[in-house]
Amino acid sequence: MKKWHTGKTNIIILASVAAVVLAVSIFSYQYSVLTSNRIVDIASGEVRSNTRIEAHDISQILTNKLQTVGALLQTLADSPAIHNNEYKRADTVINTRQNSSTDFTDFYMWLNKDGKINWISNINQSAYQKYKGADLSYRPYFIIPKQTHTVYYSSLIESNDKIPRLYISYPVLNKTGTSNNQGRGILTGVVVTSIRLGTLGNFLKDQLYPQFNSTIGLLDRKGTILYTTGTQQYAGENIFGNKFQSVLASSLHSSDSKNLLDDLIRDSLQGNTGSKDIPINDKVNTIAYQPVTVNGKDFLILYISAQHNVASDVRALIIQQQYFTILMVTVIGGVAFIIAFLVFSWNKRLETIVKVRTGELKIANDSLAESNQQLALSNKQLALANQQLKIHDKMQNEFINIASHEMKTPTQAILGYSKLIQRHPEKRDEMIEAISRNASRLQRLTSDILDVTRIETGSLRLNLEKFDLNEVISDIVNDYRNEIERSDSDVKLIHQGGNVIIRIEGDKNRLTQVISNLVGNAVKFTTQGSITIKAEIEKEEEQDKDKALVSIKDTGSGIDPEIMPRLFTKFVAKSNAGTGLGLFISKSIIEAHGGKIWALNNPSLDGNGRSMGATFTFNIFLSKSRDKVTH
Amino acid sequence: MSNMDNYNKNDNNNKKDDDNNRILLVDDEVDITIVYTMGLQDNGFKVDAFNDPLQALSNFKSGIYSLVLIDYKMPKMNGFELYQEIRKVDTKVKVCFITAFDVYHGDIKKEFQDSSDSMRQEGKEDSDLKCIIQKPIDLDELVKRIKEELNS
Repeated sequence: MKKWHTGKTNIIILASVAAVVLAVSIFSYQYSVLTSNRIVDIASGEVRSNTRIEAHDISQILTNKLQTVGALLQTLADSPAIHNNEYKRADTVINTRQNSSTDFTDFYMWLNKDGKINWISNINQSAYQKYKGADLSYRPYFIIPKQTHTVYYSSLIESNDKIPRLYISYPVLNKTGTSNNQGRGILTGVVVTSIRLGTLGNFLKDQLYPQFNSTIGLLDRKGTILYTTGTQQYAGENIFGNKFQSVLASSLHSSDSKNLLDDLIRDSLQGNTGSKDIPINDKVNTIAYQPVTVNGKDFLILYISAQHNVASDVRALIIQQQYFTILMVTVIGGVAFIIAFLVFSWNKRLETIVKVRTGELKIANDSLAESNQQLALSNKQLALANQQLKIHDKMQNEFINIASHEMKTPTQAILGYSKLIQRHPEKRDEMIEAISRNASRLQRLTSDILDVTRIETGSLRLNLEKFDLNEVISDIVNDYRNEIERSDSDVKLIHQGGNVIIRIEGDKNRLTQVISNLVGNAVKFTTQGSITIKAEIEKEEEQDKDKALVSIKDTGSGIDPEIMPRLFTKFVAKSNAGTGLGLFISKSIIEAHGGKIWALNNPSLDGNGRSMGATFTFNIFLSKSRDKVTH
Repeated sequence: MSNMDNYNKNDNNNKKDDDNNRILLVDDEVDITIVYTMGLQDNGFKVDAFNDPLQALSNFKSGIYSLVLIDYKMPKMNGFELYQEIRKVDTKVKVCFITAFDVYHGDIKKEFQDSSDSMRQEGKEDSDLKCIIQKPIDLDELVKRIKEELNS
């Protein structure tokens, strides 16, 4: 339960760490994206506005330049030398104009009213002779001013010398001859100036903001490419022509970009101003377009294109930063995770150690408890033993008391007779006999007390030997028969089955003592009838446990039922001359041999319920040798 | 032995001699009664000896004995029980207990004291027990103790 709890807690904490790391990552990423978008927006906005501003500015510059050139041309047309066809003076005037705008214009030219060259600026004599009178009346720069009597701005024109040029032409009108005819006069010629496309391009290039990485493009109103930054190879091509469109197709990967660009160009060709973001070569470009208006007429269209390089760079940087941030967060998260893991595993180790210790303590505790229990048990046993010792002690004291009491009686008799025998010599013999009787009683008592002492101190030693029980019984019976004969009693002593050899292993003297005691008791308490002593073999299921069974049956007074339960204890069954220890000693001896002894009153046979004597029986193991039973 | 038994019973025939020398002796041990009887008779006492307390009680008559000498430990009826029965008949006779036990000495005194107290409460008079004779005792010493008790 506890372990599960800890495991769950660990998982929750680890999950929390992971969640926090993830949240921080996501937040950081989102914040980066937001920031980057904002920065990109700012940068893009700047690119857009810069592009539009540049387009506007350069268009304005170009307008100014062209208007300046137009104005120069007008002053040329209005000069008296031209009006008056004063060739010598006109030469100087034309050269002066060219010299004042030589950075921009290629040359100035004066055509007569038929479109033939009157004069070309800054031309040497041989060249002049070559071009003088050359007919350019087919050129729009002659035709249109001649017809409209207004300034004309040409589209791109391939000159005879194959150099692409733009032309501006102005009609020379003699207004003196016409009366109050506003704007109308007699055309006397056309002044023309030309601008080389290359010169125009260089001029435009110089106008670009040096710190703004943009490209410039210039179209005429027909969509002819006049200039593009970097290369002149598309000059003269139409924007919708095959050559440029194929280039566009390779640059613009998506059709969306192409459509956007087409829309932009169409819009611009209609003389509108605007800007658009178009992805080119995977990079966003802002293209701004602005018409170049001269004298109220849309002459050219200027395009400024700028890549959102800063935005791209910023985005790349920000992506880099995002990667870095994510990496950092991941690293931090990883470190946090590792630390958490280490802490948990350390905790777990600690927990395990604590658990092991707790277990050991519990075991120690348990064993302590067990020890305590055992101690308590030992104490109990000790108390019991003590109690038993006390009881034993008390019994011992009692035994000593009784024994001393029993010894004092014959002692008193001996002392008394010894004293009396001096005063009553006539009773000398009787008294000597009495003294002798008491002395032998004292001797028996002493002997029995010694036996009891041996038994109770556990120092009763058996001298084991193999002998025939019936032989021993036979000797005892003979002794008692003699005694009975001497006492004039008619009690019969019968030894039953005495011819069978019952071989046992035991202490011959001690067993003789037992049988003698039992027979002696029987003789003592039997005044008439018979005493039957019998030894037989008691068969057991296991042959090894066969026993010899010895019984002494008398026809005496029987055993007082009151003392029957304590029959074999000390000083219970005491006859007149007995010590009261015989049965106790007999029982101890039989038990020392591994046998049992018991006593029963014989069942009444005369119908009066009177006891017909008692039977004492003991059993004892047979000799373990092979020939334990032999005839 | 039979001679001595006769000797024991000698005095029973002379009960009419009514002086303060007649002593009742009860002890279950025959040899003890013989020896004590002879020892006391040699010193001028008349002794009626019994080995059976019940028999002694059934033969007891008030005013015959100046002293009863009772063995404390006897079968059938112990010395104190016998004493109590005798006291019911004769409140004046003096009593001496014979005992072979050391410990019984104190017990007897205590038992005797309790009994005396209860008897006093019943309005009967009784003398304090002073006479406890320990076996084995020299016969002259026994006579001396008996005389002391009789003269007290």
